[in-house]
Amino acid sequence: MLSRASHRMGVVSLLIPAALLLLPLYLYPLVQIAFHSFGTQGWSIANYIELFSDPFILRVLYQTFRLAFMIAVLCVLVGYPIAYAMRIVSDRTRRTMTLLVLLPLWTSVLVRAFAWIVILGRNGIVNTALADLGFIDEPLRLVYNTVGLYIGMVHIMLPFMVLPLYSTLTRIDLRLLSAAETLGSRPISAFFWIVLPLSMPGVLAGALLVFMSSVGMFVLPALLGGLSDITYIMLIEKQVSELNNWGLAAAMSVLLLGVTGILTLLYERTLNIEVSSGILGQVVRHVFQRGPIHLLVWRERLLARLLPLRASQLAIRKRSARLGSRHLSVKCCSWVVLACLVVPLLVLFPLALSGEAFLHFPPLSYSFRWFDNFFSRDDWLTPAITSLKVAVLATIGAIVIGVPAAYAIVHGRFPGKGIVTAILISPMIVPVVIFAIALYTIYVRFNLLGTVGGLALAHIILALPYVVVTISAGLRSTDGSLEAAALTMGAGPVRTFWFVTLPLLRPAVMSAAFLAFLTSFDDVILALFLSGTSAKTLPVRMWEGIRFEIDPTIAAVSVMIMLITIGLKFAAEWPAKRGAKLNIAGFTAMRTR
Amino acid sequence: MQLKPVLFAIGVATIAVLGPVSLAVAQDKGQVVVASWGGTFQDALREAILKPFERATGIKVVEATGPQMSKLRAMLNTGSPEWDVAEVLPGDFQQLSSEGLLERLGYTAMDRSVFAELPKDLVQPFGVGTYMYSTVIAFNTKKYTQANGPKSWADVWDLKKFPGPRSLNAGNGPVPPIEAALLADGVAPENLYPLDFKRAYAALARIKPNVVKWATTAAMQTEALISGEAVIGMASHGRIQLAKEQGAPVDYVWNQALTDSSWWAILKGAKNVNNAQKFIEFASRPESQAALAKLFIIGPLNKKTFDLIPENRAKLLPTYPDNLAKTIVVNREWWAMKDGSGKSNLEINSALWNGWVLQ
Repeated sequence: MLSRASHRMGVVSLLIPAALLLLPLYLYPLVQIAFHSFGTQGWSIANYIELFSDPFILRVLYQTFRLAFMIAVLCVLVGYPIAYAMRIVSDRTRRTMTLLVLLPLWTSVLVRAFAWIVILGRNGIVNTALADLGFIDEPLRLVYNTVGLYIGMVHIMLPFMVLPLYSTLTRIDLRLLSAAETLGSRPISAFFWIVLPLSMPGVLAGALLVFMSSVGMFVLPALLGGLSDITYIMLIEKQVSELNNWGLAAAMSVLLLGVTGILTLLYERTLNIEVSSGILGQVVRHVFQRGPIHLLVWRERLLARLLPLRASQLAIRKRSARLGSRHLSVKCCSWVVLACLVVPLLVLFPLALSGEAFLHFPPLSYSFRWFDNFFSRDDWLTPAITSLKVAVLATIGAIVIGVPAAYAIVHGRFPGKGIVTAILISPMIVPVVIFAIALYTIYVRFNLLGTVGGLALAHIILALPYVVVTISAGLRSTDGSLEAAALTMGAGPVRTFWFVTLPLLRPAVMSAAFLAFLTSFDDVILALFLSGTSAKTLPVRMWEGIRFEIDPTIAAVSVMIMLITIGLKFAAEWPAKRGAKLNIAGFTAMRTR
Repeated sequence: MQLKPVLFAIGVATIAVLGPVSLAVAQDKGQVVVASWGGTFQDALREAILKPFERATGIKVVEATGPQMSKLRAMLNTGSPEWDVAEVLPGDFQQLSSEGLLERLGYTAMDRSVFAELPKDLVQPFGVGTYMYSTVIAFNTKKYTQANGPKSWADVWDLKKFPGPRSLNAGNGPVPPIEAALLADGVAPENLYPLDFKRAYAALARIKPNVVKWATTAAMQTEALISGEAVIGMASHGRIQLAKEQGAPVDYVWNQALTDSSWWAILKGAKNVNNAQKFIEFASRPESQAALAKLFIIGPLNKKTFDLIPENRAKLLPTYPDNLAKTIVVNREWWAMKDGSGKSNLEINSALWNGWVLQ
């Protein structure tokens, strides 16, 4: 048995890889930014005075947080049925659903925005259909305003909600539902009073991921949003690029980090609801865990007083209820949502095959020229391969650094844990433009510009929050008694982790790896600054020329990536299918004998 | 797909053959890193100017993309920028040259006769104009044609005679709609500058309910008009002309078009200043400008270029004399001018736009 102190040392040492990466490449640039905000000559708070006396900036900050909050709430409402459906369906269907949820992330934001415009525009599919059916006289304004922005953002944020939530749901024993029903509960009640509270860590983890990512968005609001849909990051970017007011931009970044840092600290306290003795922990405990029980008891008492006959009516209804259709509504709902996710992507297929050099739907002519363009040009193929290399390296790095770090903050008990968690999660909301510029100066000095390794390191930092949040949600839902059992049987902490905890974490690790890969593959800003001329990535190549046009090759690339992902999925299932067929053949052979 | 291995083999063979050759040449004459805006424009630039420059002088051209201000500043801050020559947007050029972040062009070292053929105000100590581009009044031909469509900014603002959704530039983008708003309100082109922001924003407020898209890049303007989301709007001329040629239902008029030009500038601390100056001189020659104008719709600045371009192509370009007469040049110097409190007009407009947007 390890002593308390050495156990604590061991846990803290899990944070060493993260520290080695974050201290020079993340905290140092951040500190530089903070210094910058105090002016370049000596110390002055002029930038902060300018920041707080400008009502516009503060209003946009509030607006951005409100937008992020609404998107998080919408993602919970839309994503929960999907995550729940993924939990209860067969393996194969689950893989299909995962694929459909992740598919939007494989496409470039440019073509995705255009696909939404095609669907939601004045002459788009939705408006034309509604007009043909006679429901509306004038086209609805669904795009280039807040409605279109919400739809576009939920579309892209859903995977960040569904995956952490799903990995938490896998740890909940569904027999609890059956137990509840034998005790007289209706299926929906059983869900609300049992599954929902138990899945809270996953819901909160997903909501945090969505909230933070939404705060950091600035491309989609510019493309899909209306005049008043400005986000805080867009303002910062404007200060840096056009107005060259880096002092103000630095001050704005510090403010954003401060506010979101507080939110992250609150989140960390919420995760520790079992052990936290603070006020917030107690509130969360009472509201989410004991609250439902209290409410349930009061409700039953109230109903018993008002409707004395209700008990017998319920019993009659129960006998005729069919358990098979219990989850039908959930499955239907989730398939409908998934269909809505996928339809915009289907629009990309005709666009990729269009014969003109501008995006038009439906295409005026068809041709394979954009696919041909991609394969015949070195300046498309090389960036694609570079992107793959960087993304693979970044995923491996993020998992290797993030999993121990998540373990440390979940199981460790050391002072400053809240701050460490906040630091690990904060790359999600640091304005990437500011971070990229600060990192650029460091990379120039150490000759890391234009190198695959350098870019991968930057991407690891970017992906780390997603890994940490997903894994810690997964660890929260893991039954601690299994680890304790292993320890009492003589396994050391390392063996316990490797043979007990890690296999239990498999869904969480897979989700985290996916999110890390996609974060790296999709990143534009860091790549724009750090890739130089020799490590150009695919998103950078796709963004080029945006000053003049949207190259339809982008649509072709997105379609190809989607097809590859779908193809990989079917390839992975091929052995399983063959195995099933053999079983059936063997079975029938047995029966005829 | 059998094509890919074949292409790969061809690619390897080409590199194997040409690699040593270009390396030998580079060792003789050095190289120059040129940054432009990528996409099909850079393809045209490559064919028209970059490759001929390499062939003529033996200097290797390394291409880069994306000379936006944030990247330029990050580079200049380090003291040894990655790039030598960049195609800089007008507002950025004014700022960088006033801060001394660009290399002074040694016109004595180059063949000065070429620069005599360019407009005087586009040959400056720190940079030379690249080409002219315009923002025109464009419309969707499913609703309007040349005959019954808008012909001036006042028409664009006239919602009774020309109903339909509009698409304008956002005020915080590269070409703010201020000049257009003032012209629509009745200001004569000669009296435009100094711009009356108050009057412009009042005019913008009148049309705001009908503007469907406030675009921040040229790509967005064109897409809105092609898809019919907007029927009348501001659009980048090059893009609209190209779309029109390819059969998109769009058209435009030259009247009251707003023209501007970007700049070739050498970044301070660049490694290949001499080669960069040679490049700028080469790019300003009539042959280079004609070659570029034939591949991409831009307005060449060298007077002698029009002798080298066929008439039917020349008629489409912004600097063709007939077209140039109808256009209004945006006064970039005024935009960069700082007032008493040290804020440039660009910054003042940005603050006004921010306040106006959330009303």
